[in-house]
Amino acid sequence: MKRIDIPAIEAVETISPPEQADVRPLRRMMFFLAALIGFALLIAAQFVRWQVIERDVLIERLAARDHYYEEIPSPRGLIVDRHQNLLALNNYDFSIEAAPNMIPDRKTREVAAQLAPILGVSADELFNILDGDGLYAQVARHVPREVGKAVIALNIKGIFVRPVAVRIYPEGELAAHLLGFVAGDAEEGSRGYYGVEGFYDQALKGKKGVREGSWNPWTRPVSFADRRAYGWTLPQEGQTLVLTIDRTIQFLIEQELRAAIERYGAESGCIVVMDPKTGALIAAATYPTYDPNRFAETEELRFVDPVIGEQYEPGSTFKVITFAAALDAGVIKPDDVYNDLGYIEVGGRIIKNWDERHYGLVSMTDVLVKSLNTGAAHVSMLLGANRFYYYVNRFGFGHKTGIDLEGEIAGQVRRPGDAEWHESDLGTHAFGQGVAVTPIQLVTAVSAIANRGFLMQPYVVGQLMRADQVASARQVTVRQVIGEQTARTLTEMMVQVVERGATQAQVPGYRIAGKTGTAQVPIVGGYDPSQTVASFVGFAPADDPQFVVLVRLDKPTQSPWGSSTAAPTFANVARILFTQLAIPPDPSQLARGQP
Amino acid sequence: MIGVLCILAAFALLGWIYLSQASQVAITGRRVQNLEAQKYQLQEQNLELMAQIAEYESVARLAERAEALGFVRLPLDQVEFLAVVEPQEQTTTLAGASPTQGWWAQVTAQFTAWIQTSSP
Repeated sequence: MKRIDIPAIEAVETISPPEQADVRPLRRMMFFLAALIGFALLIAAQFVRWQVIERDVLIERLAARDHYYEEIPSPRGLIVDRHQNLLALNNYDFSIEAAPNMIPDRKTREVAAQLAPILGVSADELFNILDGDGLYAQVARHVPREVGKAVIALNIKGIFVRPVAVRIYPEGELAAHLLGFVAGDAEEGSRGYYGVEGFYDQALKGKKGVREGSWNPWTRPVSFADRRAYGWTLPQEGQTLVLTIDRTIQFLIEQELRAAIERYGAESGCIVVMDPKTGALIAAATYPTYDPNRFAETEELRFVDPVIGEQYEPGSTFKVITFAAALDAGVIKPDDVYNDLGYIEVGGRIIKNWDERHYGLVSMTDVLVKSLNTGAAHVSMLLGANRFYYYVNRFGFGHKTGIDLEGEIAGQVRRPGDAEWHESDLGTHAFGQGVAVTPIQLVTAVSAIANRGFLMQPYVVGQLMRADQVASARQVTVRQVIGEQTARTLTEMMVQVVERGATQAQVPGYRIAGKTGTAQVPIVGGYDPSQTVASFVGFAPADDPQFVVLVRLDKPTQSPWGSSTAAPTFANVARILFTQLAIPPDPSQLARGQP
Repeated sequence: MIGVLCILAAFALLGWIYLSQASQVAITGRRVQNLEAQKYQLQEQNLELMAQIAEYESVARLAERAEALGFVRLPLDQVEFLAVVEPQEQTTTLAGASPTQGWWAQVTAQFTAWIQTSSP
């Protein structure tokens, strides 16, 4: 019998497992599947619980949790001069902070030893700050950038270096009173004080941004919070202020002021330069001054801007106001004759001339040229109290000018009806005694004479800028104080003052109008017999005034007179301005061969 | 059976979408944080550079530097203004005028302007 080979497949079939064995893996798979489905159903059920059943409860619970909230500081706006030179900008320094609980116990002394030479404090002092389990300790504030970076480089656990915004003034003391300063930092809430920093604080600050959201389990902010509940508000940067002052002119005039104070042995002083046609301040120098970068080391009294925040008796410079009023009211003409006896009685008080001399018959122009107190008192009596104080009021005395600087005061003018007013005040006020004005008031009033009688509101900020938006300051004509013809007539009289009286104020080639002032310094019960405030106010060129300048020197010791101290200083300031503002001389004046 | 598999696949798909979205959000968040940190760093550098420029350009420093370089301040009473007569705009050459005539007109105009300029 022949042997038949069974094919392999058949052999396999013959050894295949029974029915029960085939069912086992399927059951296992089904079991696994059921487990998976069960697990998936559990997850789904949990989702349904979270998203549907307990949704409101969970949202409430989330809302009750502390959420992440951070203010994003807005950069403070810059301050630049009329040619965009930076006068105030932002920088940062560092604050060194610590979490003592994060510093390993055994390493505290080592950390203190590492930081001590960098921060310039003793290791023991630092150890006392860092020792313990506190959550927070302030190690050092406002440390320079180099120091902060050196501490960062050490990379010490538990020591944190935080940048803090600070305001810097690259020109130092230049225009310090105009600028003011910023105190505090972002955390404490910084604020501008005095000057434009104070006046425009809100505009400079901008608006802080806010970032809020949830914490993740590692107490880090979740990058994308639920925008419906939380979100980000981007900060809005502060506006840039473009000042009307010219940095170079300001610098040169500050130098001239210091030189004049030294030359004449004065105690203090100020020089104010204004564009009479617009009211824009071109420069305002003050001495003594301070460095706004180091305001914390400066005594508080020094922060007050003498130009707007201190009043003084203007003396004879106020006579131009008296004459403006009388000319405008038509009670005098330049050629009217006045018989000067050397004294005049007003309200029972005898008023004498500054040199106690009598000049006999003089014209009204000569009254101004010779600066006769008696003549000025005579003019105010011709006007009468009502009209005199009406014009004083119209010129803005006794009221704030409204200049955009923080800290302006109104000055003091006693008027009929005031308890302290006396009839003799009509006579003394006519030559600037017994009235208190601020330098900005006097410059603004004289600017009205230079500007055809129109009183302009003084201002320092010419433009406000943010990104591509520019808002220009509106030039405000307050009112017409005197007529154009009156302004022209008075200008000619003031030119005579410079050409025949205060000759030291002259600059060859230019017609200058001005008036000197020498005021006594009020003390308790009267006036100081030896000390004076010497001043000169004038404008040029007289035919088309481009600037008005007030020079005030307090208590000069070389000479008490405005004509020999403030007047020559005015001439130097005028020369600076003629050059810097490119004002050519008048050919007719050159032809006259003026000195 | 197929239905169960479909449900499983659907859950798997949903899970994958959820996970990929969550991880994408986390990555983007991290990138935003890094970019923010970079932005602040650049802003700080920018502030520092601006402060340095402002210090270098301060008028007191410029004056000091100019003096160190040998510049002297001109006394104010020695400043002289020079009157500069703006040359008149050239009129168009008359029709038929030769180039030589145009050139001559230009020369005479310049000469007139020169004559009118006062000497310093």
